[in-house]
Amino acid sequence: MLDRGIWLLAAAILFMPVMIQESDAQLEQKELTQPQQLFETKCSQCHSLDLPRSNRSDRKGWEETVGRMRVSYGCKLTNEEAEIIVDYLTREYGK
Amino acid sequence: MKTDELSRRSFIKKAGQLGAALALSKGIFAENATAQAQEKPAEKPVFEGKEKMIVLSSKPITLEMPLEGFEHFITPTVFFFVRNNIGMPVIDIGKWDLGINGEVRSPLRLTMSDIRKFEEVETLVTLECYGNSRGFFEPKASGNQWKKGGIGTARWKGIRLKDVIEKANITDKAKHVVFDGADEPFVPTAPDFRRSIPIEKAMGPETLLVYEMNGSPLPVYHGYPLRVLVPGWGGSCSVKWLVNIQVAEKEFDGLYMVDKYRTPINPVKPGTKVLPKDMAVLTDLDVRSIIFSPSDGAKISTEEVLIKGYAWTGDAEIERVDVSTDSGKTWQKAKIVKKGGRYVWSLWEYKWKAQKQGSYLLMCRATDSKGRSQPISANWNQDGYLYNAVDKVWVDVG
Repeated sequence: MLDRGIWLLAAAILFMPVMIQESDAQLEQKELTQPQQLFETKCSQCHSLDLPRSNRSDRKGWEETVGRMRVSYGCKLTNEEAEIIVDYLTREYGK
Repeated sequence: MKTDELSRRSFIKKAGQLGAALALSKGIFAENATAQAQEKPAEKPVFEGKEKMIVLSSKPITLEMPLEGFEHFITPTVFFFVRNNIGMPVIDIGKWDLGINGEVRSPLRLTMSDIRKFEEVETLVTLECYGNSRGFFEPKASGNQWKKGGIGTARWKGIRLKDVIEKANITDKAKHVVFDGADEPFVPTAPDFRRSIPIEKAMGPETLLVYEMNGSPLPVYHGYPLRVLVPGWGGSCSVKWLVNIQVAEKEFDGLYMVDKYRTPINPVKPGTKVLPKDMAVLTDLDVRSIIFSPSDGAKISTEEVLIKGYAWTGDAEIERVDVSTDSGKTWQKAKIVKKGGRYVWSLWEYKWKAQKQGSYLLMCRATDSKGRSQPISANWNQDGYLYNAVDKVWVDVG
């Protein structure tokens, strides 16, 4: 019985870093909210994300930018998706 | 464009994409595969043959020359800037040819061997991106935030575009020339990259189709196997990976003519948005000079230092460069130590010894043969083109 306990303790110590790492990764994954994922997935199809991230604009500006991408640059977004991305950009990269 | 032309072009593009995929697997470049790596700046890719460049964007590839590149009058290819608008192709030369069609009486299809039969021309030309130094505009203009390195001078070898156009025998309706490269958008719904220039510029003896750069075949980054070279005009006119030249009656009306590469017809207050209809297509570059040594923020001694820089312009020549070492209160003429001539930058120097310790604002201002001089503040425009304000560099002496 004692031997089994020691083995369980050893296993727990051995795998603890992995468990912690997985927890961090899961946490990071959770932090990637749906608007962020949508922004990354759609916008990175045509350009590096550094480009929008290096710019700051108000809501009107981001609406114009996203609108320009849809109308002129062939970015396929539903109205709902466009609004989610504009909300995200205004929040994260607003003026 | 005719159906067979479209099929041929589509084939070349598909072949290019295959080549790009193969190149990617060899680690030659990574334009299509690096979007995921963009999330963390530390994972920015390094492009083979361009390791020292500043990566402004990995998709599409946009690489800026660091200041050290200015130490070379002829920019080594490793330092030469790259500005792609869409996906970079790799072309199988065995399947490549160049079409010349549209308002011509004798449409042509030329292989590289045919092109080599025209009279060969070798020349130095300075090429600058219209958006060079966009990062200096205030308020910020959207787009890649270039500092000074969206420019370079190379030795180019090729043939005159006018010789090819004359062989095709243009009609009286010929007013513009449209260039199409084998590059492809990243998504099928996005527009292709094509640009046109007026026939007068296309027929100028300076406008070339080039196949060599600095003594080697054009690298893929710079348009292998053939690119246009439109001296004095922004780099986007010098279309890379050229596959078709269409002589047209009207200016091309694609996205990269009607939405991009335009500037307000009338000057605007910084921050003012202007509709494309109130803007005109960019033509030749404006007069400009920069200081590359000492660099901004440099600490220098009270010993004599050499202030060094370049000056260049569009369809004109540099007449003089003036330097100020006292925040613009007084100006002195700089010495042009290597005059590039038309379409090539000129290297200038100015010897200066600060009289006492402190912080100094160094400035330079060029004037060209059209009488144009650099303004104190550049003409702001929403897309940040043609920045050419007097260059300003702060140094600390002591």
